[in-house]
Amino acid sequence: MNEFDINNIWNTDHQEAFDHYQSLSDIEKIAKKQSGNILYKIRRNMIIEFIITLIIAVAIGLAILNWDIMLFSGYVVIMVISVYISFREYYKCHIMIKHVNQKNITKAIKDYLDILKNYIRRTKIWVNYITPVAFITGIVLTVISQSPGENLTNLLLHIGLAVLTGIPFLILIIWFANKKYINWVYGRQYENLKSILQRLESYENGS
Amino acid sequence: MEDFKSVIDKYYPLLYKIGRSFTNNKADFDDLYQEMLIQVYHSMKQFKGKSKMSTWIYRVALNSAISYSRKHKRKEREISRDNFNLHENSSDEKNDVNEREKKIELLYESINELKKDERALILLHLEGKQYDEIAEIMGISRTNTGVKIMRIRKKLQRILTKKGYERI
Repeated sequence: MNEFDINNIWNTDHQEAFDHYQSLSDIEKIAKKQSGNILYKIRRNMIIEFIITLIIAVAIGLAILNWDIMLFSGYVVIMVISVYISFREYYKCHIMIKHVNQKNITKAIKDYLDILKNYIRRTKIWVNYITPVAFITGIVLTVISQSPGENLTNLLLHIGLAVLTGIPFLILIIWFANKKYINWVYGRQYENLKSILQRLESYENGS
Repeated sequence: MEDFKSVIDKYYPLLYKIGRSFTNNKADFDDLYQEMLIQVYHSMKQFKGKSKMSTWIYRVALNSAISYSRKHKRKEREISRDNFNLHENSSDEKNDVNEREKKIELLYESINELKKDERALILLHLEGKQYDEIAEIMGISRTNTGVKIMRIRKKLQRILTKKGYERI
């Protein structure tokens, strides 16, 4: 029967460990795995967000059609445009993330951060500034289309007053809700990616 | 306090051995190795220096390995150990190197047949840890540690005997 010295064999198994260690850049592996998880969450959130946008838009559209009124015709137009813009933003972001070169993980994470930063910035602009404007435009278009005999100056004056009293409040609510929402859905992921990059850079500088 | 890089520089053979003892193919090994690195990385913030660094590393790495092994229980049984080729050997390699590698492979294969906590205990024992330290890492009593290790060694011996080897 062959001899088998467990302790001796156990203690000689260093070369393979060394070879394996040489082939690994440990921190890069961690960064790759963690950033992969974060990106997965970001893309998943984007898809969920778009699907919800689409469902709400379709539901409102169907409700308007069922009521058989064109009172909110202005809103329908604005809504279709919003859905199109949302889709374009999601798709653009998705493609940009997909095409990031992952060979250099530090560079890849920097690119992901840039893409996400731009996405958050654009979302903020759309929701904080464009949405209230679109909302008001919807009101103006609807009211004008529903009041054919009215004096346009009087009509605009009334609308103007309503807008002036309502819009600061509207912007404040949208701004606050959007800030919380973006932080909840994307902000945490952005911060996590940033901290991975910082660790990676400090590791690279230290080694 | 030591930084991540110096900790890994020092303990990579240990992580490697734990990884090999708890997986039976290269893909799982890589996965577990990364998992252990991540756990060590995150846990470093919580290391207060109350125990020895090595004790703490063993605890973190073994906990990761046991929990990984639990999650991948089914898969572990399905995949043959033949899939574990970390390095391709060329045909002109010396016989003694092949023999040594064969024995290393056989040792891991035998350890893999043990239960998860038995693998952890024998690993610590083979690493030359004293019963006190093993007891601290595993959270069991010193006496229990001694008894269990004796049993595991016998069990390992039976496994190796079945494979045609005699432990000395």
